[in-house]
Formats: sequence, structure tokens, C-alpha cells
Amino acid sequence: MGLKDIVKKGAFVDILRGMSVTGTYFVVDKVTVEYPKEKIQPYPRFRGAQALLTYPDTGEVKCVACMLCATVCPSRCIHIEGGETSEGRSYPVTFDLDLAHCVFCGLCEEVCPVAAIVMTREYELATFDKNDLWLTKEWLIANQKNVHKELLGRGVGGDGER
Amino acid sequence: MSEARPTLEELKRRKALSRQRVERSGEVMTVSMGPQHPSMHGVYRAELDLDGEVIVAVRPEIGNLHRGVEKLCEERTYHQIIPITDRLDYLASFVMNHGYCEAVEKLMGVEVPPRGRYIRTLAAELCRIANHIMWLGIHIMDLGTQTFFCICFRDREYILDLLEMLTGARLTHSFGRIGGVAKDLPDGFDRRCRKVIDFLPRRVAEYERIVKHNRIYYKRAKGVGIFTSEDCFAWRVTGPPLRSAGVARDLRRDEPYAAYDEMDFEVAVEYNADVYDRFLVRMKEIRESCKIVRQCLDNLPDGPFVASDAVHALPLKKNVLRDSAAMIQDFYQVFQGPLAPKGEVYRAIEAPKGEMGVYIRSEGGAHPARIHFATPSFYHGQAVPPLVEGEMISDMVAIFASVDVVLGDCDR
Amino acid sequence: MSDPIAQLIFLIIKAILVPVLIVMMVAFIIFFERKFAGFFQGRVGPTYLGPWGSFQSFGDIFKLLSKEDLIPAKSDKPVFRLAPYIIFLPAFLVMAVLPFGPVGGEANLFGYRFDYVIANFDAGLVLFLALGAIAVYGVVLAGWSSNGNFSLLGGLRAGAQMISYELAMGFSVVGVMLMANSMSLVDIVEGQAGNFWDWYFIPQVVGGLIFFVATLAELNRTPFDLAEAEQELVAGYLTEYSGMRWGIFMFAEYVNLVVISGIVSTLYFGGWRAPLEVLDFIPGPIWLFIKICVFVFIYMWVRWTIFRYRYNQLMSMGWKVLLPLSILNLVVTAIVVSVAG
Repeated sequence: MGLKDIVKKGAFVDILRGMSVTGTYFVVDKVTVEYPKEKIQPYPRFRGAQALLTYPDTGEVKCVACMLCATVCPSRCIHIEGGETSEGRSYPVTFDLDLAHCVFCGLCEEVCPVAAIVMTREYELATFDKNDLWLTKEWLIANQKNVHKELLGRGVGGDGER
Repeated sequence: MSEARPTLEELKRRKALSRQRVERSGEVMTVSMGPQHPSMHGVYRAELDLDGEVIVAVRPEIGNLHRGVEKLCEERTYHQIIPITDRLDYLASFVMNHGYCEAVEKLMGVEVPPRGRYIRTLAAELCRIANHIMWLGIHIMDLGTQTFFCICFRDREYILDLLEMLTGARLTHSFGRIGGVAKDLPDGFDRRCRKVIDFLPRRVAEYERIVKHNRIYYKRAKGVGIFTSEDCFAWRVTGPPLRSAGVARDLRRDEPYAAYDEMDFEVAVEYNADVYDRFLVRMKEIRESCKIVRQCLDNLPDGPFVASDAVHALPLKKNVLRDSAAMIQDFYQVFQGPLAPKGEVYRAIEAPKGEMGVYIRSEGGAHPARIHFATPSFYHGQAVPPLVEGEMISDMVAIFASVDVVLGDCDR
Repeated sequence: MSDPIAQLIFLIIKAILVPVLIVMMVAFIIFFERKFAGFFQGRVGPTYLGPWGSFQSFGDIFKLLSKEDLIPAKSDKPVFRLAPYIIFLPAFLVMAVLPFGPVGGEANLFGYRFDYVIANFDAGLVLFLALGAIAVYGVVLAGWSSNGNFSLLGGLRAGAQMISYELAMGFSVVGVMLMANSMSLVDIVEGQAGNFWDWYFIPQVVGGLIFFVATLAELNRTPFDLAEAEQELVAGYLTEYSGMRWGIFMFAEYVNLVVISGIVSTLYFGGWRAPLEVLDFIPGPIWLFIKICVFVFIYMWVRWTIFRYRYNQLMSMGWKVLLPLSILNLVVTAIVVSVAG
């Protein structure tokens, strides 16, 4: 160890170097986002809780109860009972999604042939009551308010998608 | 920093020197480190026999995070398994997806188009950078300071942001698909990714400034936890620990997959086989990954990002909504699933923690008959007894952090 | 009123006021530790309770008081209960000999002399060292009486570390004693009269650095916090303490921090003296307060930057590096003082 190394060691140069880095962090802007006062907006592709889309003019669900989402779900959390309207159109009588099992993989959204089920921005799903995690058709339809803004008015699954 | 490269004999001698404290008789105190423990990465339990400060024996116990992943895969089609592979090494999910998809494509004979290969490389390298930055934070936190942990996580946020923009989720990406990837690069991703990749090497230089020449880190990491290449071969330890022992084995170079054969990068190798060198290897790997990401962005080819294989791949959503052939493909892929030919396949890729291998045996149906994930953490966790027996208890924490074990990977 | 009665009244006032002030200061220092920890790490600390989160300590105290008081069944209960107080009290006792203003001289308060020190003890420095040694008992007894593996390891480690570093600490302050020619803290501050270049940190620079490092070990702070190394030993000798008993340990640690910052500023940085004589009009206690705050900040800065040593490296550094250096410092100081007259 040469003289320079001894002096450096005695003067704690390496430790002061580390302290200078933390010292600069002391004064620069902090990165904290103070949730729940401030919230970060998720990206357009973010996979939050699902929503069932309805036709804007008639208010009927787009879903035709083809069972693709229920079959592809790796956790088997979608339960659909199909039925027929009086006009002969297929529709889901009940559409239940068990949020306690959902892994938010997005496969249901990917395979839906009529773009009826989409993943939204909603991630604040914590609740004290486990029964709240059984999402019914009404809840899913009401969740349309959380659909990603970039999706609306652009046609789901359009070129470039989200 | 590096003197002449030590030979294997020299490393063995150093190892024997640092561990000569084991030969002592006397009472041992049995202490159970884990499963709930601030430093054991996940629920890994190590029962230690301590003689004062020296570890005399270690009895590791895994299985606290076992979820039966391989059994779950046997009842699902090949598309449905992809979200399950996310949860193996959840800190680098896309790499797990990627390894699985490579194995399935090898089994079914699907070819991935060039753009898909480049996007896979890009996402895999982003996962590698995130993993190594987080490794650094956890390693230094185990040594005593939480500040570094927060700093590293702040930098990891930039990468996770990019991954959320690309895949839709920060941690469990589910982005790989058979034949390519799930979605194309979104608008604005190129610009943002370049911004992040430009300042990351400066951050790495900052970390090195604090850690690399720090006298305390020197004392705690140099010459500690020597695991020679012989030991690595004996215990199937791969990845950065192997490369820090002087063996230049990197599957991205030796058995290239995705777009790695078209990338220009160096394999990070060090020769002293201790904790300090594993740190150096990982820092170098972050820099090389930044290089690879930049090359991917510069040379991204046009074209489809997923194979248009009607028998094995999912169709694009925009086609499903308009085209009846794609809709039929959609129904076929979901209700029956891609059929694999009878046979077995093994494919390994370079995960950030080591070599991850996927073995699939198929009896010809839509479900695999048997899948096995040969994850790196399983073997690294198994190699803990020869690594730490004879070291002191404070060193155990440092060494265990340096071989990077994640329980999701280990227990599956 | 005669002078002895006045002095008695002043003594009672001081003896009540100083501990109360210290306790209030410690409550806020605990908050500032967490706030500064956040700032050093690039995040904001607690922000919820009160303006800027400043009432966080009080929230913590209420939380700790409301917890269940768990005493392990096989522990040595009387010793278990006593141990926190053995660490707690010596720190307060050192405050009795620390001067926070001019001592002696003419009457300055309502015609009576008010000494800005509780006890003008002429071996104050030795008292400080002795009380620091008593604190070791508390740590070892806490670890031992908890009857657990981790606690025992932690307690023994801490005890050995504190004893080793006390030697270096003792030798390094002897240099100051030689320069001031007295063991009383009051006289040491008197000897630093003048401007800041007359303070002892310049001639005693080596001793000062050694003292600083040794006090880090006494306080069980990083880089010497193996006793409570969370990652290795869960919480060391504190593992079995819950609720307010743990609160008392934490409190004691921060009171020690304040006291040792006070000692450092008294021994090496002029105590209650102003850095420049023109600034003498600002009273002594204010300067001492400022200096204590500066040193507490430096201790925190060091804590949140550096990581910890391994145990055998720590012990070898204490015995093989700091102790010889402090003895060397002592010898050189003695030679210079005797030559310079």
C-alpha cells in the first residue's frame, strides 16, 4: 500500500464519496408519490379489473356467451350461464367473475371475438368482505367507467391495439 | 484491481484458508434462520449449527412456497400455461415466459418472425437489468444499509414503468406467446426506452462509486464465499456465480436463441470467484444489457411480431374481429389448444439468475404430459451448504445474497 | 434569600428542566431520524401526523403503550424488566456534568450566580467514561435474560464491542485532558476560549476522529450495529422486548446519541462557546444546541450511508487499529504539551 493509499484510507475518502452521494439525495427532489393524495395513472395496457362493454345505443351487453373467456382462463374464474333473447340472440344470463382467483393475465380480453370483456384501470380492489370479490354482471357493466381512455372511441383491438 | 488471474489451485488454497475455522470441537448452538427472516430472500429456511460465530453445519429446507406449478401445467393447454410461468421467477417474469415459449416452439416446430425475436430480446434484457439492479439493492441491504435499497428500487421503477408500458403489468408480464409476443411496441416506447437506457450506465457508475472502492465492502466481499469452477460444475451452479469463477459460459452466446446471435455484446467474466467478483459481473452485465437494448431499438425489423401459424399460435385480435378464418383459429386455439407432437424436448435459456431449462414431454395431446422447470435458484439453494459451511454467520448473509435465490424460482 | 438557598432552587430548576428538554428533543430527533432517512434515500419520510409529519413520535409512543407486554416464560423476569433502565439512566446522569453555559463568575441572575451546569464535578470526563461502561451491563443483561439464541448472540456481541471501543475512546480523550490540564468538562470548555481555531479539534484531529469512530460503536449505530443487525439476527438483544420496553431501549439509544453529541462538541468543538468572539452575545445554551444538532445530523448521515462491518473485522479494527493510534496520539500530545510548557 503506497503512501497515497494510506492517506486516502486515513481521510476516509471512499466513505466520504459515499456520503456525498447520499448528501446529494438529501437535497434533490424526492420521488415519492403520496398515495392516496396523489395517484399515478396506469398505462393504456395496464391490466386491472375487468369490465363488460355494452352497445351505447341499446345498452345491451356485447357479450354473446361464447364461453371463450371462461375456457381460456387459467384460473377458471369466469362462470357464464348463456341464454337467448326473444330475438334469438345469445347473451349471458349471468356472468360471474371470481376476483379472488383472477390472476389478471389478460387472456380473456385477448380471445374475446366480439371485444366484450376488457381489462380496465381499476386496481383499488381491496375490501374487507370476501363476498365483494365475486363480481356479478352488473358490477362488470358498471365498471365501464374505468375503461382506459385510450380505448374509447378507437375501436377495441384496432391497429396497434393499445 | 485484477492481478494475475488466479488458477484453480490458488482459489482452492484461498478457500481453505478462509474456512480453516471449522475444525473445532465444542457445543454447537442450533439456530433457525427463517423461514420468516428479513434477509432470506423469500421463505427459505436454513438451520444453522453455530459454534460461536462460525457455521459448522447447514441444513437447508425449501418447499414453503411450493404451489405445484408443474402439476398445474399438466391440466392446462399450452397457452394457459404462460401466466403460470410468470410466477416462477417473479422478478424477471418475461424471461420465464420466454424460456417456456422457446421450449414449446422447439417441440412444435414453430418459427418466430424476426420482429418477434427482437422484441423478445428487448424485453428479456429489460428484465435482466431490473433483476440485477434489485439484486444489488438487496445485497447491500443485507450488508447493513437500507439507503442503497431505496436508491436501487428507485432506478428499478424506471424499468418497471417501461415494462408496464410494453406488457401491461409491472411484475407478472405474461407477454410471451407461442410464436412471438403478445403485442407490438406501443407509441412512444422507443423514445422513452432510449431515455432510460441512456442514463442507466451513469447510475451504474454511481453505484460503483459508492460500493466498489468502499473499504467496508472490500472487507466483506473480497475473498469471501469462494466457489471454484469445480464446485460450480459439481453443484450445477450457473449464471453469474459461474462466470465469476472464470468460466465464460453464457447461453446467449453458446446456444443463441431469440435475436442474440445478431447482437454484439461481451460476456462478463471475472476470475476470483468471490462475492466481490459476482458484484462486478452483474454490474458489467447491466451495461451489456443496455447495449443490447440499444441495438434492438436501432435494428428493429418490420413485420409481424407473432407467427401466423394457424395450428399453434393465437390470432391477432384485429383479425378476429373482422375475419372468419381468424375467428375459427381463435375458437380452435381456446377450446382445443395447440396440439404438440409426441416427443420430449429440453431447452435452456440464460435467465438473469442462471440457466433455466424447460423440459416438456408430450403424448400428443393439447396438454403436456409432464413439464419440468429446471430453475437456477433450486440448484443455487441446494449449493448453500458447501458454500457457507465454515464461514461466519455475517458472511452467510452476504454469500447467500450473492448467489441470488428467489423462492418462487426454487420451490415452483 | 441567602445564596445557598438560591443555589438549591436553581439546582432543582435545572435538574427538572434539563431532562425534560432532553426528552422533548429526543422525541423530535426520533422523528427527524426517520425523516432524514427518507431524504437520504430519495423519498419523503413520515408525512401523515401533524405538519410535515412531526408528531410521528407521539403516534409511535401511543402505539407502543397500547401493545401487549410480552415477557418470555423462561426468561429471568426481574433482570428482564430491569435491563432497559440500566441503559436508560446513565445517559441522563452524564447530562448532569455537561456545561451548557458559562460557569463561575459574578452574579448574573437576580443578583445570584447561576451556573449553567447541574453539577460542577471536577472529574466529569471520567464520570462520562464510567457511565458508558455501566451501559454495557444493560445490553448484556438484556440479551442474557431473554433466554433466546438470537438475543444471547446479540447481547454478547454488543457487550464485547462496547468494551473494546471504550478503551480507544478513553485513550483518545486523555489527549484533550492533557491539553486542558483538567478532567472537568467545565475546565475543558474554559480552555477553548477564543475563536474556532482555538478549539481542540485542530490539534487533536487524530484523537477526534478516533473518538468519533469509537462513539459510533458505543452507540451501536451503523457501521457498528451488529448487536441489532436486523438482517442477521432479527433484532439481537432486543428480540424479545415488545411494546414500551422496546420503546425505552430506543429512547435510551437516542438519549445517548444526544449526550454523546454534546460530549463531542464540548471536548473538541468548544461546547457552549461561539465560533467567533463577536457572536458572543448569543447565549451559550443556543450554541450548544446548534452544535448538538449538527453532530446528530452527522451521525445520522453516516448511519444511512455506510454498511456494517463483520464482527471479527470490527473487533480487530478496535484493538489493532484504533487502540494503537489513540495511544500514539496520547504520547505525541504529551510530548508536545510538556515541551511547549
